[in-house]
Amino acid sequence: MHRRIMVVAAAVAALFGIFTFSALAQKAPLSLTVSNDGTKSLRFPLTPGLDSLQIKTGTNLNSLGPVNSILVRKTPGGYVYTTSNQLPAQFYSLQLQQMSSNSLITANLLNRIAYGPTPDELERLAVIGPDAYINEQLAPETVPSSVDSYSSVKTNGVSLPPNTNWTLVTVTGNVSSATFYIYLRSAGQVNVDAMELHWSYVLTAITNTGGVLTTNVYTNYTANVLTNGDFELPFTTPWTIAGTTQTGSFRDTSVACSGSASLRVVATAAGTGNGNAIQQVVTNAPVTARGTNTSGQIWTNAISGLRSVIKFAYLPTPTSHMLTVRLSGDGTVGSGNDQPTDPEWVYATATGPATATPTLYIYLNGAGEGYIDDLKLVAGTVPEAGPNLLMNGNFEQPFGTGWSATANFDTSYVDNTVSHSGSGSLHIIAEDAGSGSGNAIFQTNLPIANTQPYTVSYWYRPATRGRALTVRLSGSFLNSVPDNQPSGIRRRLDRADFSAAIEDLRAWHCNNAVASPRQLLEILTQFFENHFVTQYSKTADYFDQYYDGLQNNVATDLEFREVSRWRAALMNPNCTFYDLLKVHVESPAEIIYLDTVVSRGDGNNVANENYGRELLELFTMGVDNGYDQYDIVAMSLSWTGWTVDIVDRADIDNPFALRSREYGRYPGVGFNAVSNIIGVWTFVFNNTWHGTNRAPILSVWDTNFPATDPKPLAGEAGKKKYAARFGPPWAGTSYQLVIPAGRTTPQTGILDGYDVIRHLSTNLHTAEFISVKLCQVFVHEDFVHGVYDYTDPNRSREAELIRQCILAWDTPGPGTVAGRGNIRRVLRTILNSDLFREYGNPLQKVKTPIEFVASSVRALRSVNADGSATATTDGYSFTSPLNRMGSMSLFNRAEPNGYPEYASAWISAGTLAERVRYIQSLLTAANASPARPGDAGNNFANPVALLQKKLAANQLLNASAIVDYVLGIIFPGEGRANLDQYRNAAIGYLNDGSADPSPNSTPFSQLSVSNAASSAYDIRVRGMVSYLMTLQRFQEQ
Amino acid sequence: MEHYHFNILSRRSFLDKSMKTGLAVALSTLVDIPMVMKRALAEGNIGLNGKKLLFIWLRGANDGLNSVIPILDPSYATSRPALRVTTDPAATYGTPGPADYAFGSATDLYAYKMAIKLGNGFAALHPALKFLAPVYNAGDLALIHRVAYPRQSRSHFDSQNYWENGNPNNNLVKDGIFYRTMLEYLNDRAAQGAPSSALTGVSIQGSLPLILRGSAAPMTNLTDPLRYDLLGVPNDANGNLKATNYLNAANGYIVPDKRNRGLLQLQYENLRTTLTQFANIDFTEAGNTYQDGFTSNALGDDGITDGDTDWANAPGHNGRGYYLFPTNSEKNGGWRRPDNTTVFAKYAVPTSLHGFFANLKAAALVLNNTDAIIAGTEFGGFDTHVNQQADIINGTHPGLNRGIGWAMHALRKYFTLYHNKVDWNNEVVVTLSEFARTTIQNADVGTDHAEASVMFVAGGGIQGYNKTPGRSGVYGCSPSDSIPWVTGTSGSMFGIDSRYLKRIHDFRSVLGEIIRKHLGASDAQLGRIIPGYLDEANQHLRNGGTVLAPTYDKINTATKGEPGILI
Repeated sequence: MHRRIMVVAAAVAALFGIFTFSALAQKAPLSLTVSNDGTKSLRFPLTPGLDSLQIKTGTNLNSLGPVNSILVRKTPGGYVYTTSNQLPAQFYSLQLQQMSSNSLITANLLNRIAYGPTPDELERLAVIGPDAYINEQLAPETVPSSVDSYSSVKTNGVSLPPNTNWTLVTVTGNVSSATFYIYLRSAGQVNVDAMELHWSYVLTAITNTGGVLTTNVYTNYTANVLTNGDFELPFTTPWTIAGTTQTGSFRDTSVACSGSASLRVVATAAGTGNGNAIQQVVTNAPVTARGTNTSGQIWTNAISGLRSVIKFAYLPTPTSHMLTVRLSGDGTVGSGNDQPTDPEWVYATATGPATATPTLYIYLNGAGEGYIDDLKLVAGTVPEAGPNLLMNGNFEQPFGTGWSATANFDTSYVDNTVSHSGSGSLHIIAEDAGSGSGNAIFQTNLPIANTQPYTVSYWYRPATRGRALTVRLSGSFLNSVPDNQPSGIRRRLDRADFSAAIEDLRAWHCNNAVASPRQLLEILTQFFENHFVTQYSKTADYFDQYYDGLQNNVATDLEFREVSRWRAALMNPNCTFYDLLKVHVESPAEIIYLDTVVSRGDGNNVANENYGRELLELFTMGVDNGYDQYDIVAMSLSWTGWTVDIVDRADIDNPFALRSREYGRYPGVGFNAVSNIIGVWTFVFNNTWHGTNRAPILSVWDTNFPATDPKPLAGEAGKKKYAARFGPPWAGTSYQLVIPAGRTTPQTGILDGYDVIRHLSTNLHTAEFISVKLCQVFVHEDFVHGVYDYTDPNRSREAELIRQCILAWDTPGPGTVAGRGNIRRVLRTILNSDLFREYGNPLQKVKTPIEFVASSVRALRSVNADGSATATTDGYSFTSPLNRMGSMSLFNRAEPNGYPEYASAWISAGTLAERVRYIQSLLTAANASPARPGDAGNNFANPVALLQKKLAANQLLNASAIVDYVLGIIFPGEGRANLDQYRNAAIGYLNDGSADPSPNSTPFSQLSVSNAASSAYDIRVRGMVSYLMTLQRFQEQ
Repeated sequence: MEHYHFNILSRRSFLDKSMKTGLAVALSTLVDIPMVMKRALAEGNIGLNGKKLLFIWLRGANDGLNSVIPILDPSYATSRPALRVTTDPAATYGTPGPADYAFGSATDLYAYKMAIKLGNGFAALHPALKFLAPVYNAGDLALIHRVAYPRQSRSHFDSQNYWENGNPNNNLVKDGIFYRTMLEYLNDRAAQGAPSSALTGVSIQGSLPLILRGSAAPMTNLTDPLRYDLLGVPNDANGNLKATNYLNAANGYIVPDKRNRGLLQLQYENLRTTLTQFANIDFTEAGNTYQDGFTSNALGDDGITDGDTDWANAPGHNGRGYYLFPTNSEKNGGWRRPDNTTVFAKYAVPTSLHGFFANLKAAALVLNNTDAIIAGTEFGGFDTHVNQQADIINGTHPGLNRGIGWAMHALRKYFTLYHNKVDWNNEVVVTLSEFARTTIQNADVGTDHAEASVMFVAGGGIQGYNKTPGRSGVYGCSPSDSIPWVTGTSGSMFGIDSRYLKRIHDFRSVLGEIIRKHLGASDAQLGRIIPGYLDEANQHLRNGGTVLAPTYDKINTATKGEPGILI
């Protein structure tokens, strides 16, 4: 509906009046004043969302004519129309036309529940309407999304004899003493072979020759120091079997990984290491020495970083994951793995045009291995449709049939032990990075035609960690790098084999922000990830004591699992706040971040208060909102014993699971490398650390007892009750939580924590605090918790909206905790509210850095049929801009309060300089000079391509038409009349040739339409769009 | 406790509106300000008295005992057999007088390798701090010993948090002391309806430190001052000008008022203004031309040339002395000798400190050439657990000391010889460091985390050596202090757990005195900037007294309150 306001004023000289626009959300005074200088002025205020205005005048109310619009001035205080007062009595009429409410809400929705409008979405919403969009976005499970989808199968088309399934293990760790143990941690059997132990250390040798000190640093990696580790010799000294449980072990000549024999470890019960294992005393580690050498020189060997490397092979059995191979003391530990599954094959396709010299290349971007099978190249854009243009693409014949390899790839071969289908696949072996021509596996002389489109498809088995596979045609227009595309990033994250790093997680998150059709889900993901803050680098630090180099990837895995669980919860229509809070308390990243991981309440231990405090202050009730220090102390005990450990993948959701890998007996203290092989870190409940002697929580406390030993007042007086400000039916009712006594088993002790979050997630203070935070994201910043009096008949509109949210929160329904805290119900309340929908609401918030960068790409992003777009990102290029715009380090917030939503936290001259530079770089990157490196990285936009797609050809030289289109897509919530100065300036910019390659005065209409980077047309259009997007208005959402 | 600045935010948005719509509207709107926000007059003088502050964060915990050395405490030498600085048999450490630093040989800037006598008859400087001596002797330096805070944490993370948020043992306060100082300035300006400076608090480092962080008003961090310009249309210079001109013109375009539009308007104007200001500052290496004065200038013979006449004779550098900011080898002292030889000992500072001096230079330039009131940077590497002093001049910690000494010396010269918006007399330079290191050296010939340490405070207004006759520039390191330094094996160096120097100064008192007396905060403002400052009865931050256990401290601790380094 268009709002159309008409005010008619009958005015004579010296008349002074104030009129109000009752139809507007805000009262707008209209005044007519007469000055001594013989003029009279009609004044009316600036109006949000104003599309047009018109003043008419005349002596006859029925025949008013428009005034000269030049006489209508826009001032900070409002519009002023000034004319002579010498005329006879006049009527004046003022018509203000605001943008339609649908357009307004559309603009607001795309700015708040999405990462900014896109040209395509603006068109779509104009058709379906904003309410349909709300319904769709509130139900992301109904919105198909293929942004990061991939398909994989676990299969090995070749069946192999079991003896070939030897699994190789390499682990690195420290050395504290040097006896080597082999045992099983339960009864069972396993064959081991090819055992090696190496010392690895740095040696600093200082010699003093006549007062001249010379320092040499050597990195030493010794030969194998185990004796008879391949079990080719009789199983005697130095091997011994200590204790009684492994005594059935023997040298097994029936099966071998190498040579002709292996060791069969036979355990009747768990071995333990010293005194109960198969063991060998190893040559002592190198030692520090100092002295005088034969030439009389003083020398010293200072050894640092003494580590050991254990290598062994074992034949998987149902008990092989109980195998432990380790050094004595706190030394290096290796474990057997889960039984291997069939190889995981991933499907990839890509389409693109060929060049005149068609060659297909296959290579990795560094040393490593991988497999590829069922490689097909067909004409057209449909994968696998039509004949395969490659010879031996299924690798059923030897490598030499059809294929060649150069340089780093010449040891690759067709492997007949692994396949996706048939009897073989290509085993890619890269000695170093490939590059295509001259350094790849390739097939040439393909029967394909220049510039015609072709489609490649294949199954591949992921390569060595950190290595990306490339399959491409010469010319690189058909280029498939599946690991670095959104689907590949997602697959590596899902796989949880530590092949993804934090940069991958951020890229995935940012790609979704730009490209996902489930925009509200992305906004909520960021909101809850930020609300339930954890810090990637603190997790990495924690795992530093267990891993040599993989701790960053382990930490990434925990962040990804956390965020994935929130997303899964949010995909459920019945998702409650409890579900999200539960993910948070069970997240290993959180348990490490807020120190629960070491919190003990048993014996004389004092529970760590860090988590208890932040849970109440930041995650649920809000600071100073219905709890006190005594509650924190009492509640902290509930979280004792909530720690993390490494378990089998099948046990990822089992808090009582046994540790699946030995990693030394003093976790958290030593430097024991965990096996580099898989296992999964997850939340486990350690009941022996759990304290049970606690007071009820959310009580009124007897101050005669210290905060370290809180005791509530007796009876009703000891229960905290809702304050009067909440009003009926809540005011005066108790919200104390009594945790039952007698919970001494693991299965009952763990319930304490769940009782706490169940209670907190239905508490009205939580409802209030979370609603306030959501309103700050979706409506405006100025909501507060802890102060609104919901019984006040004159309560503010903000207080009323929060009251509505609390009502929605407290309404029962399906789902956990009786459906209270249903997220969608609260969101719907907000999005349907007058505050959200009123004309003043759009563009009164400021974008956070991630919102700014994502919206800048989306603003010019129109997706083409083949999946390409007029603006795009690789996802990875968000990190640097986000850091520069105020240190927004995703998944790595140091402070537990999360990144702020307040504009004042982000907007300063220094950060604005970075925001402006980013836009300028994004839009003029094609012309960037080496002296001005691209701040925008691999975020790209091509505004000319967008205009060519969206505008009729005859409009491309019409400056007004182009500016109107661009204003419509980047400032859709402002109103045309409010943008008149911007419009004029942008048209002026297009017509201004002073910055062309050769400065000139050629008007825009006389340029040649071109999206070539050096053309004047491209420079002017990019410059104009850049100009508009660097303005204050583009900071708003 | 989390601090939410609702009122302050409101005041700010009021300020923004008044800035935007002009004074007339502002005055008429003043009537509508709720009582809680009304502040008829400015409370203090922060930002209005021409005084400025430069901070240097020594991250990792500086070994104060090997910076300002209690040289006449016999326990010093016995506790640190391999880390001690030896005494000069020719020096009379027990006699008050100026810092007695020796010139050394003609070719070695740091030839003197023994404890430098200080003016209080007890303490000495590490020889690597040699360039503090001229600052000290001018009376412009306060060396404040035994600085810490109640219930001292020995975690880097926690302790840095407390120093920055000004709330010992509270990690929940998420804004910083200097941020709150700037907020008081902004509120004062808002209360008067007067425009405020575009730049207030500025740091030059990786990211904005907590001490300048807060949510109600933006402080500025520059990871690289050379990035602080706009790109325009990178076709040619005309393109940049065209884009910037259009951008600036758009700052005046009129739209209906909405939340945050005032803030955006203000900060875009700030951007426009600061771009101009920054454009006039040459942050490039080529612009780093600041050199020491002639050795015979009015500041007195400071010994910088160290008798090295080769330097004075170097082509194009006759007698101009060293560059103040050694940001590369060329500008780092002896490199440019005619024979072009490199002698490490002739560098003013270790070459690893070039990056720090680049940031320090930028901070100094920003303070001197813009309206910023507080600026600073950080200086890392002080966590010296291992082999901390392999060489008395070039070892790890001595190298860091050289950085501190040269920084103070260079800043004094810079703000004296090249002053623009602020001169040395209106400048205070202060160092922060989260705690000290153990009194006794460890098995790795290093030191571990401890408690009380040293703060270096310099400036023309500092009441240092001989500013009044008989005055010393050393605070808290003498047996004749009102809370005396007790020597010996059960003395001050072992005041806590037999390993840690016990505090008599609270860092909040030192910063408080600077913020109150130098920057001009009122008492009420200081109470907001440093919580607890008005709780004199218990915390004794102003006038000193005994801080009682267990409420505020672990053990009853006699403290000095403000050290009295300013008039």
